[in-house]
Amino acid sequence: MSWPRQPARLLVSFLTVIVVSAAAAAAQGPTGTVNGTVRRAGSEAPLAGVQVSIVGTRLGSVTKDDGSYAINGAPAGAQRVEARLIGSAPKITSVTVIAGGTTRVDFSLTATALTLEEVVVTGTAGQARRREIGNSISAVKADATPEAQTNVSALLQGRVAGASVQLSGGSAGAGASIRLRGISSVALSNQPLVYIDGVRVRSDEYPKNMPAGGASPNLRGPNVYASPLNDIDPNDIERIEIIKGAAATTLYGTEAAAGVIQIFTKKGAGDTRATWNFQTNQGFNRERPFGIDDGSPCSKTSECGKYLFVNPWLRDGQRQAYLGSVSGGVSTIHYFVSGGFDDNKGVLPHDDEQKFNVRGNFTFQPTQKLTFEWTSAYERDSITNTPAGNNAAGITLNAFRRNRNYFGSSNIDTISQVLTYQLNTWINHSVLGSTINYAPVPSVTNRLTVGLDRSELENRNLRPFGFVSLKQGGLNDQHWSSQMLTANYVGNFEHDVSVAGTGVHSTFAWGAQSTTTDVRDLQSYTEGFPGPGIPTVSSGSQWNGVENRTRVVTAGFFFQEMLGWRDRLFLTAGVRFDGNSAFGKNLGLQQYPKVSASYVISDEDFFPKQLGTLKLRAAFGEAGRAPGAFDAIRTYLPVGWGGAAAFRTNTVGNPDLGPERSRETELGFDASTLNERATFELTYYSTRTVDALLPVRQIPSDGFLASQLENVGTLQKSGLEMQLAGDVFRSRPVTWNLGITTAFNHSKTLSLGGAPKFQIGNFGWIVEGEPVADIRGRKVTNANDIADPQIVQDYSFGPSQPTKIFGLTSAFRFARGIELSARAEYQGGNYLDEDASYQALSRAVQWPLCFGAPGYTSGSTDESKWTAWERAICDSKNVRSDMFLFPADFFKLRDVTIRAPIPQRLLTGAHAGSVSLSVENWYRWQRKEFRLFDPEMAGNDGFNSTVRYISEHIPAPATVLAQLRLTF
Amino acid sequence: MTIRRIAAACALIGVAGCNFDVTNPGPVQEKFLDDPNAQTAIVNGAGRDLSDALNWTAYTSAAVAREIFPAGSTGSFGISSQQQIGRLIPEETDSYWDRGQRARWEAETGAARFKTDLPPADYAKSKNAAQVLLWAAYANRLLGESMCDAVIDGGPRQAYTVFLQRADSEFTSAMAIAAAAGDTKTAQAAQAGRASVRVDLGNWTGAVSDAGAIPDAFTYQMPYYTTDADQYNRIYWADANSPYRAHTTWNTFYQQYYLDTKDPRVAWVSDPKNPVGDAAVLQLGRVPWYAEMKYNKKDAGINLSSGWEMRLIEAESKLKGGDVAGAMALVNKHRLSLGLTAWTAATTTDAWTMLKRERGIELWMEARRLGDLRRWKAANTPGVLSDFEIAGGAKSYLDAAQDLCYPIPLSETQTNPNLSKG
Repeated sequence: MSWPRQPARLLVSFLTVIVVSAAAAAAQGPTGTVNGTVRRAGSEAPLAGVQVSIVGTRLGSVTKDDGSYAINGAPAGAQRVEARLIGSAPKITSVTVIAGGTTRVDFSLTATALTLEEVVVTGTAGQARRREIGNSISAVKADATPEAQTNVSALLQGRVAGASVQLSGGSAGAGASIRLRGISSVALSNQPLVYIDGVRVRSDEYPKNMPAGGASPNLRGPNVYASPLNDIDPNDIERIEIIKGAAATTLYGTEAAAGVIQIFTKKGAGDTRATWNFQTNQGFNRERPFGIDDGSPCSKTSECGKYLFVNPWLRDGQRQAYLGSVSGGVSTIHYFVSGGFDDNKGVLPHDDEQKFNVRGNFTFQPTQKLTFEWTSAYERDSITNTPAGNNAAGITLNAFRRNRNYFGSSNIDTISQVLTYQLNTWINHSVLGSTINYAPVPSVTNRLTVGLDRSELENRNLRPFGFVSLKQGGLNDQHWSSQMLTANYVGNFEHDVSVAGTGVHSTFAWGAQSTTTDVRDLQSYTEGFPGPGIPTVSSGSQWNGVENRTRVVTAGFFFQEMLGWRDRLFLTAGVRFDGNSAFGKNLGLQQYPKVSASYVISDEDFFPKQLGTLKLRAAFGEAGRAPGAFDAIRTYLPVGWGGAAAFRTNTVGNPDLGPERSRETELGFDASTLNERATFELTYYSTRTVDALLPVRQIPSDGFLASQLENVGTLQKSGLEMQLAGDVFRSRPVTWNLGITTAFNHSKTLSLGGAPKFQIGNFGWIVEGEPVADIRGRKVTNANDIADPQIVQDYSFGPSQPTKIFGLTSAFRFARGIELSARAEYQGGNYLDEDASYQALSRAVQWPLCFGAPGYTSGSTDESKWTAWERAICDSKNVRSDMFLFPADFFKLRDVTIRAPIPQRLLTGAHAGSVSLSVENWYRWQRKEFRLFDPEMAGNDGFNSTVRYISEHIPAPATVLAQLRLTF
Repeated sequence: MTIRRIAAACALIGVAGCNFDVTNPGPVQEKFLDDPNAQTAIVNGAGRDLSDALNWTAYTSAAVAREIFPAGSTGSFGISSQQQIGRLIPEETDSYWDRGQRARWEAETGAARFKTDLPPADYAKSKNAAQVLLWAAYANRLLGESMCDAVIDGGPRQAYTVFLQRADSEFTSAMAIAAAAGDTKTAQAAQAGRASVRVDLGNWTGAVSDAGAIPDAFTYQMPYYTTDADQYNRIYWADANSPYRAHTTWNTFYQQYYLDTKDPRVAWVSDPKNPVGDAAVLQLGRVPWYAEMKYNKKDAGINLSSGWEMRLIEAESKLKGGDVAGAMALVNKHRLSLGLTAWTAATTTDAWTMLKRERGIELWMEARRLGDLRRWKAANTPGVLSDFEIAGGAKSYLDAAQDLCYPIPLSETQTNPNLSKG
């Protein structure tokens, strides 16, 4: 059977039948109101963002900044009211709701990271309580993070064990890389899948703003990549769930080996009164030193090694944001509507990013059996950039190299000529999703989500007439779009298995998903304008056009059975089947099995209650990663030659090409003790990727130069993740909460299937028996000796990805709701190519790394007093590109924040308010060998490259933000 | 419940039967190359990739042979620090080898495809076949004159002359087919090309015979285009101050020679607004930027063969035979036609010196000089090079171990089992 194009169609039809058949409203009885306040146990500080609900109904509310809530329309009579907050133990209180009256219920929640009754969605078939899940799952609740939120990537830093989130550079719009448990694939993207409210969205980067055409013109631009993940306003987020490996992501199938991040946005609650929130952030970005302090003063007219001589062009970039939202609803309709504007001026002269966001989330529950959810978000991102990176027409490269730059001058006005370069990016990003939940009987649930993620981008790259290095000018205009259509259906059937009263409960789940990705890219380039003025592409004297289109279809279905015994032991088994349009023609549907177990041993009578709560868990699962659209077929590229048609060899092709498979085993436990004051999670994982897709280099004399993906490799990674959280002390004047995350990750290439070792860029090599990827290059073995350098070639320095990640959060919560918090992170154990130094030194630029060599700055060529290291790198005859491989360990103080509620007497008309001051990424430590730049940076390749490097960029700046929030 | 079960079953069956057969536009599947209408594009593809290989090799060879002097950039439009001192190392020679091999393979498989697809009578007079064979032959000549060793289609290491022998054979086939097709220009180019590889192979009789059939004014160029930067003349673009000023004629034989003679074949200019190159080089710091003018625009073509090269082949043959006067007459023939002063040579050694000078001038930056230097060094010919060309010399800044050919790069040695096994 050949099902035309959209597998989602049948699902839609199927669910439409179900939905229509069930559209009858339930009758309403007498009701009353439940209200109260939720506070933190110990400090008694009010808690915002707590979900308070009437158990067994969909009635609920979310607490405001002052901790208050109100639920209208609660059914009169005996009810149970529940308060839930991620990171706190939920509490349930029984009350009698008076018809037409108000019943007060206050809560005092105890902070704990172990909440076994918490319901999670990601990686489960529908939803599940944490106690039922055999794999680890991390969650970050946005309202529980004290700092002024700037973007989603920053929100995750240091908070999730095993997640490496690294900033890429100091240019406006630059995104961040996210790696969950290191590298999952050598040849394919390692960005995790991202879902927003069940809708798959693009996780790979947007294209960078550069001219079409090969060779160096593709360097002309800002050389940074924006991230779709940062399009979402972090203030709209309720929580983020993260699953990190194949043991947990099996049900996502072929593309999920790098993990899944699911973002849940705020939905509003069943309040009769609307809650209005207004917020403004005001602050600035400031570049922190990233060079060598050579003692020269930093001013607008003199050199300064601390900033690698780019300080005349640096500025404090103003940052301001204005955000508003309204949420509320009645018993059958909830809503959350928000809008915001964020103006983020960068530290380079032209850098500016202006974001405009709107969101509307609506929930309609006509009956207890049926719920419709609609989420919609639109974001407009306007980015203006300064030319930067490894770009001969860039400000940073020419500033770094001073009088040995492309102008032959360090004169500020001379270099500033590149600032006439105009670089603009406009992104329109919409995410639309509709979810229908239908439970015809209590034991059966159905959920269908249909979603569309569409991004449209225009990059405009203009060197105007008279531009310093292209006198006649040039213009590139790129129109690019990405569309992902998601259809996701999940059904559940729960029932007790009556076998002699054994207490076995069964949940059978089934589902099907499809994702169709369509990316279109059209670029036009022109040069040679007749004169000044504002040109279009038509204004040039010659033109060039580039078009690319790719469409990939992935679809699959799964079955899963979970057996629960006495609500403490859970066994789950499932299998996913997937097809993908990029598979080779000889390949059929692929299968991914999973099995897991969870045992809440502390529920057993024999378990000493004073020890607290303990859940043991184990999981095994497979997930995959699909090859690219053209990887399976032997192709030639139509390249043109002058005005004539021409073919060039492209890919050799592989009809047997399939996905690579990650098989992961996870073991661990979740525990809380000391009366739930401290929680501890420990996870060990071991992942083996078989049929790993490796870009096998072809023999050049056979005519095909591009590497061919082949399922020939076997990779392995394993690691340990720990998360410790708790209140060090609790008292009414102050509570000190401490959180520690630790992750170790080690990888190894077990087999290349006979293929020779190969480089995947930036001196990252894939070599049997070595880390994935292994940084290799030249090592000067007698670096500190006054002697000629002894150099070992092809030396294995170590892994390219961090092997050790430590996160620390600390919060002092004082009476009256004042909170002082800090978040810090260390990542290390890996190596990075710092290429900017090589590019400078190979051109005999006077470079700070060599300022210590006797006579160097005065131009002496007498190397007799130089160390071997100095002779190797400071003499342009000796320097090689693979000599600048340094340990990339760093420690950063991600933020320090003080937040305080505004006293009620100062609030005029507002219900609650707070102020905060955050200082983000101000302090950085790095290894002494890594003397320049910031090890967290990326180069021209952007944040998503498998092996990063550093080119002529500046690091991401520090940010100081003051925030005012008011609730009405 | 019944409806739901049926619908769920349908959904699962639907996914299983989903049509995953997506054909994306863009890259072309190989089967489409068998279409007769694709022949021209196959020929052009081989031509473009040969132009690409020539572009890269001509530039770097010119630097290593000191036809030009490095003036700054070391990156994609520049001369690496090792190449600046005349070293060609396996880590850096993949761009030249890979491009040359791709051009050779595309042209040779294109010719084989035409031979299979066309009736023999049509193939024997096919202009496309003649042209693709011509590209194959020039690709083999470029590889043979530039590389230290040969490898064919993933095979074992062989002497570089294997490339030249293939070129000889392919030039011969191209000549015959072009002649049958009435394509005189292609036939002459093939004969001129064959003359040059016969010099490399030491077949002087054959070389002189072929050269004699080519008139003085004949030229056959590899075209370049303004379409995109990949198709620009690379030597021009690396020196076009947009923004690269990566090489200079300063500190080469041609700097003073041009000032002395104004020989238009080696013209250069200076620019007071940009007196130095785009970075520092060696221990010299910034060096004067004298921009060559032989390639003075993006689409400046590079000579593959010319009648004047043929005269120098004839001259060298006479010199090998001891006919100094006859040789010098041919050495000076183009000079006199340009109104330049004739070289004089009192001795055979002087004549060889003048011949080497004149070949340098005539074939300046055409990817021929390294091959000539290797050939003359191997034959231990008399005559002296310019001070600026001498390895280890004070003026050349060339390493004493200057390389005269490109070693097989790591890209081949690490992938080709016939090489990696030892």
